[in-house]
This record gives sequence, structure tokens and C-alpha cells, in this order.
Amino acid sequence: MAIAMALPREMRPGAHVLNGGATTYNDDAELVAALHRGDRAARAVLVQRYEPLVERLVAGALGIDSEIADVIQDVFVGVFEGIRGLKDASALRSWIATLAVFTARGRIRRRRRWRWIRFLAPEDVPEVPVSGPQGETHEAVRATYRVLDMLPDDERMAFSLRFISEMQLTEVAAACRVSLATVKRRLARAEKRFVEAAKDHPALRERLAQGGRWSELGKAAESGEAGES
Amino acid sequence: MSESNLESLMKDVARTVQGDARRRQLLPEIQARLERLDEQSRQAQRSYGTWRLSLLGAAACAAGVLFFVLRPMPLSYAVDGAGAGPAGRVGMVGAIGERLVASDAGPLALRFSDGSQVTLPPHAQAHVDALEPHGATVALEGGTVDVSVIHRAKTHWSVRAGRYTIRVTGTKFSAGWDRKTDTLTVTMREGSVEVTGPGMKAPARVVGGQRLRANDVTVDHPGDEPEVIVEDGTVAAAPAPEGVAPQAEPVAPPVAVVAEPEEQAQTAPSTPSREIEHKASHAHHAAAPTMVAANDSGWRALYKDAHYEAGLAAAEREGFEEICARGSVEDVINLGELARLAHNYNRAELAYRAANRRFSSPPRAVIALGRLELDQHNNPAAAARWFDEYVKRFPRGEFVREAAGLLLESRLKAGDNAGARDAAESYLQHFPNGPYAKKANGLVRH
Repeated sequence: MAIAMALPREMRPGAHVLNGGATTYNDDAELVAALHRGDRAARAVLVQRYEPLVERLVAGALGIDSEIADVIQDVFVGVFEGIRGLKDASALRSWIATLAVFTARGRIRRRRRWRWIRFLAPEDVPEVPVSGPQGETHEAVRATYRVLDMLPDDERMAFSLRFISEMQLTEVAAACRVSLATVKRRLARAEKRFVEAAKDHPALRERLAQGGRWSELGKAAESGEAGES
Repeated sequence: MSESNLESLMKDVARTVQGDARRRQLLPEIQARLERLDEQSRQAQRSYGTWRLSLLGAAACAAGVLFFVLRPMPLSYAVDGAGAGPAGRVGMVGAIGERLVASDAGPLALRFSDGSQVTLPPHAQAHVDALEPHGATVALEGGTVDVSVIHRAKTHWSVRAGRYTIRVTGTKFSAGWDRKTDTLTVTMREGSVEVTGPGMKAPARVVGGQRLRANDVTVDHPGDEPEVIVEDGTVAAAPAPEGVAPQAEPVAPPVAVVAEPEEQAQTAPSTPSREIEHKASHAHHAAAPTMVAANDSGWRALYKDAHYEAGLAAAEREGFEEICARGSVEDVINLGELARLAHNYNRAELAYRAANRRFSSPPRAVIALGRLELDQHNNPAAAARWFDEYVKRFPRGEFVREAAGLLLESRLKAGDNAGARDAAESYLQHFPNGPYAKKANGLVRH
């Protein structure tokens, strides 16, 4: 290892210097090995390679949020701190996804805990640049996250990973470190809660009226309530 | 499925939030932040390396000074009473080898710096043979001396008489020495001693209530064998060796054998060692917060996982008030938060107040207490005081805008219109676009 550290960057095992001078690694095994050696260039490559994944997951969970950069930074700090404990390089991607999920969930929890003191005036909500009919979509996006704020943290994470970050069920389960069955249960509960709460928001109610599986879910819930009454 | 139904909205949401993130070009920002952190970390390590040497040097110097200051000093003693050494130094500091003779007028007391005392009744003669950090050796030349030695961990006291040596730990006894017959008499009142000398294959242990009488072989009777007698029970008035002034025997009842230092420490009434043990016991308690803080107990995990009621129950089992009294600031505030989220506002207040009292009003506790006064106790005047404290003490605090707004609201609710107007002006000055700006503007215009 000491020899490898002493070698010029391009001669280290697994490291390749591109024409532009940037170092790259063929696969995660090489990248993780370099990180274990303390190679600083490997850190930059890791951020370059996995920032989009982390950004997608964090942004999906938090929505349009001024703290996204802080959360992503926290994720990578956690990655660098814990990388020596990662033995199986093939698990790098799912491990980073898990860190992203847990860091975002931690931020949501912290915010929820102190929400009784914090408040956000309408003028403080950041403007959302969107294409298309900005007003409607803007309102629908905000309403979506207002509804997600009402969901329990675990259900919210499962929901956002599945439907906003568009992960596969197995990926959601791995990222949340729970079984597939648990994720399915969480999603079922989250969908039900989401549809119920969506009825109270005009921007979402209109979408609900347009049909689809969630529309059916809402109708089934309504008929169930009517039957009970 | 329609293109504008709720499921398709999720795709719009994804596009929107990810588009926003992309627009903000987070990757270069994250890379720059991580590089800054890395650089700070390296600087800290370099600085640590430089400082480590300096610190090591300083620590070595400090250790040297400490060693010099705390090095064990030999005992000293003062002479007090009716008697004198050759120079008549009554009440003065005594010296090694100085001959001490109690006069007819009364006893002579040798008060040692460790609290021990040797009393020479009239006509008794002795001198101090050695002074050490943990004890002294008194040589008895004739007569009887009363010895009271304070027990300490490394006590090393002895009384020498002829060829006999009495080793002392912590005890009270009288030792008599008849120079003519070379007879030693040891009368124990408390504790125990070990006597070594002629005629003893092993040290003779004498405990409270016992008396030892030992005769050495004298030049007048060279054929005699040394004799050692240890008598049990309450010691009657023993015939004093010839030439020794009679002395009243102690009338104290026999005391249990307290030969072992540990036992003595437990039974001794209020000796310094007992005090030391007492302090050590307190020191042990003082170490408790660290233990509490280090112990990753159940309530913390449950709090982290948002199981607030179960977390509160776990905290109660672990000792809610103990955590408040000894936990770290983070622990105590989190405990308050846990209780509040479990809707137990009394417990929450208890924890926040503990944090406030123990850690000089940490910001989270201050604002939480204000909010509890406002929301739970319906006491806006008290709430205003908390928010006012927050704003003044933590002008850059995480919740300063909220505190400023809540201060305004609390004063309004409390009927303090002038105070509310002041708060409104201050609010507009610092947070002109904040959520209370409209209300503040209205107040200022009035």
C-alpha cells in the first residue's frame, strides 16, 4: 500500500488518467480500493459519479428546498467517513443510496420536530421555475409536498423514492433497509393517506378527478366509508 | 389513464424538483464544499502536529512542576507542653534526634503534621529518630508515651524501644520502656500494632484491649531467655516499670480489632482517610454524567426512530430525572423534545428547565420554554420574557426570526402594546420580509 501511495497517480493500480488530467477508475471495486488507500483523487471521482444519484433521491424526498446542498454534502461526508467499513465494493451504490435516504429522512425529522417553532410565510417559499403552465404545476408541486409533510417519515420516504425518484421496489427496500413486504405495506398506507389528503387540495383534487389507479383508490375509500356509515 | 391524473403529477414533480436541483448546479458547489472541508481537515491536522509538540513540551513542564509541588514532603512536628529539649524549645518545630524530656510540671506533646500525636507524661524521655513522608520513628528512651497515629493509606509509623520496634498503622496505645530491666509494655486502646524484637520469631500482633510485656536479656542476667507475654481482656492497671511515673490506664472499652486498613476506614469515625474516601465517593458520582452520556440507551434510539411514547417510557425506566440531572446538554434537550412529542408537556418542561438551569440557558431550551408558556400555559407574559431573552442573547441564533415574531405576538396577547410596538419595530428592522412583517407594519403604523 505504501508503494502504491508513493507511485505517480497514473501508475497506481486501477487508476487511469484521462487526457484532461482527470483520474478515473474502471469500476466501483477500483474506486473503493483507491478510497481505502486514502486516494484524494478517488474522492472527487466518487462525488462526480454518485452526486446525480444522491441529488435525485434527496431532491425527491425534500422537494424544492434551500437545504438540498447541505443534505447532499452531509451524505458525502458520511460516505467518506464510513467508506473504510465498506467491504463489498459491489454494494457501493446501494450503500450510498441508503445513506442518502437516511440523511434526508433525518433532515425531515429534525424539521418536523422543530416545526412548532418554525413557520414559513408564503413570501418565503422559493419560486419554482417550471416549464408549461407554471401556475398550475407550481401549485400542484407545492401541494404534493404539503401532503407528503403529513405522512409519517418512513411512509413519506418510501412514497417519494418509489413515485418521485422512480426507484424499483427492490431498490426502495434496499435503500430503506427493510424487507420488500415492509416496503409494500408502507407504500400501500402512504398511497391511501396521500389520496385522502389530496382531496383537500384543489390542485391535487383536479388531478384525482382525472382518473387513474389512485382515483380508484379514492373512490374505493369513499364507498367503504359510505358502507360503514 | 389520463396524462393529467395524479400519477402523472408525480412525474411532473420529479421533473420539477430535479430540474430545480440541476438549475442550481449543485455538483460544483458540493465539490467545492467538500474540498474546503478536506482542506480544513488537513490544516487542522497540520496545526495539530505543530501543537502536539508544543503541548507535549508544555505537558512535560507541567508534570515537572506538579511533581515538584506534589512531591511527598517528610512530616514535621511541633513540641508543645511542659517540658523541653536541651534548648528549651517548647512550642517550636522539633528536629530529628533532639532529646525530649517531659518535666514535672506536665506532659509534653509532639504534634506531627499528619495529625498524629505522641504525648510524653512527666519524666518520660524520647527523641524522634526519623521523619518520612508517611510517618515517623519515635525512639522511647524511658517512661511511658501515649501514641495516637492517624491512619492513612501508606502510614509508616513506628516506635522504637531498645531492641524492640512497634509498627503502627492507625491506632492509639501507650508504650512504656524501663531502661533498667529492658522491659517494654504496650497497652492497646484502639487498633493494632506489630511488635518485633528479641524473643519473637514472628511479629507479635497486639490488638485493642490487649497488653504486651516483653523482657529483653539484660547484661545483668545474660543467661535468661527473652520473655514475651500478651494478655487478653481489658487491661488492668499494670505495674509500671520501675522508674516510670504511674499513668492511668485507659478506661475505654475494648474496641473491635481494626487491623486491616479497609476495615479501619469503614469503622473510623471521621478520620482524614474517611474524608478522602467520602470525596472519592463524590468523585465517582461526578463521573456519572459521562457514563450516562456515553450509554446509548434505548430512549435515544427510540427518539431517533420517532417512537416518542415508547421513548419516553424507556427514559422513565432509565431515570428521567437522573438524565435531566446528569445528561449532556444534547441529551437533556432531546429528552425534553421527546416528552413534548409524546404530548407530556410537564415532563418536557422539566427537561427544558433542567437544560436551562444546568447549561446556562441553551437556545433551544429558551425558545422551547417560551413556546410552552405560550401554547400550554397560556401565559403570554412569561412567554415574552423567554423570547426576549432569546432575541437578546442569540441575535444570530437558528430561531431568532421565530423568536422575534413570537415576542411580538406574546406581548400583544399579554396586552403590552408598547412592548409589542418595540418588538414590531425591531422585527421590521431585522426581518422586513418575515412572516410577521405585515402584523408588525400594522402595529408600527398605529
